[in-house]
Amino acid sequence: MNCSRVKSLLEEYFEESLPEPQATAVAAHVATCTDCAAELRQIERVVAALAAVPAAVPSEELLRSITARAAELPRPDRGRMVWLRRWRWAVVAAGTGMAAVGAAASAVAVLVWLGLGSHVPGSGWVADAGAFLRRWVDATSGGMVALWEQALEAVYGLGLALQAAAPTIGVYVAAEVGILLAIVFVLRMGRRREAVRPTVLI
Amino acid sequence: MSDSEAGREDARLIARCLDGDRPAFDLLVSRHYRGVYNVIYRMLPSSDDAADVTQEAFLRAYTRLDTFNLGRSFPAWLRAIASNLCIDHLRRRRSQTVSLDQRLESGLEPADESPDASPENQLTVAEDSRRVLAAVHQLPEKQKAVLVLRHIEGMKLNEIAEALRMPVGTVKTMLFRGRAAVREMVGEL
Ligand SMILES: [Zn+2]
Repeated sequence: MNCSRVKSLLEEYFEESLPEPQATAVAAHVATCTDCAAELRQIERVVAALAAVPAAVPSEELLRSITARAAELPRPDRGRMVWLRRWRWAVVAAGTGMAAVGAAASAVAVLVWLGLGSHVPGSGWVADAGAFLRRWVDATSGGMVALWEQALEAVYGLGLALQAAAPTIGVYVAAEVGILLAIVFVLRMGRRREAVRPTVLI
Repeated sequence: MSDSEAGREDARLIARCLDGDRPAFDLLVSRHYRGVYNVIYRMLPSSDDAADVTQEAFLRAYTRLDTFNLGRSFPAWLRAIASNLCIDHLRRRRSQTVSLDQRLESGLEPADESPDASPENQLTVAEDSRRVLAAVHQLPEKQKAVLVLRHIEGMKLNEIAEALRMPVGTVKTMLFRGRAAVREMVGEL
């Protein structure tokens, strides 16, 4: 290693964060080169000089003025719904998860309902839509038809139960709208807090 | 008082403060204002500015006390607030009429002038420390903050990274560049 290469690595070497084999190479070079050794000593002296800086002593007046000013400010409190703020991402994740589960359940219910349309007499437009869907699937998917039939049979029992519960799809939708509103509220609250927080807080 | 005892005492005082006990905050201030003042004083060239920013740091900590995570170190939180306020302060000032460099060069404000009020400040700072500090004062704000936190406050690189919200690699780069610039400025010690 030549001098200029060693000098470019001296800071890292001093911090003991230089990886091997460079660290050994730098150590070996510094042991024999007075110029680079002097530069390393310079780093040590700068650091030692900073470590030796004596503590400054603020005036007692500063203590009095801080506490006097603090007394004029509104008292801090634990913050309304501080847990909600602290856990807002968890709340958002839970809400999103619930919404996703609800949406998936609704989708299954709608699919089964449509698919069973032709088996279910008197379902009106739902039956027509189901029959149309089946005709379309039959016409376009050929070999997929058997699979589609099997899938339908497999969920037939579930379908009946869901069909009975079909009105609850409305409840799902209402619940999801509620969850979405709650998420928006929590995010807005988080943003508002962010706006008044200094950039320095951790 | 050991560090962990001191930490528990801080946590107790913070809890009391959040329960509406304001004198508990006065105790917190009296426990930590010297340390916070020192971080700030080493980054700002004048003791008046340092006192102002120390006050600002504590008032900010006070109004945001509910956001402090009790599992963390209160002095570290204060130092993070303090060093970021200093960076902001220096940036603002750099954009104003008289630059820090000009003030230092014109000798209007010696780099290490201790506050007049206390007798300790009559002590002369070792010549090396004075020269190195004067050089540190001329560094860009973030390099200055990194050098002060690392070598005067003795913080670890990852603690500095957390306080200044930058990657550890960036902290290292700033530390190395800052030290190299200081060596360049002070010459032989
Ligand atoms: Zn060499």
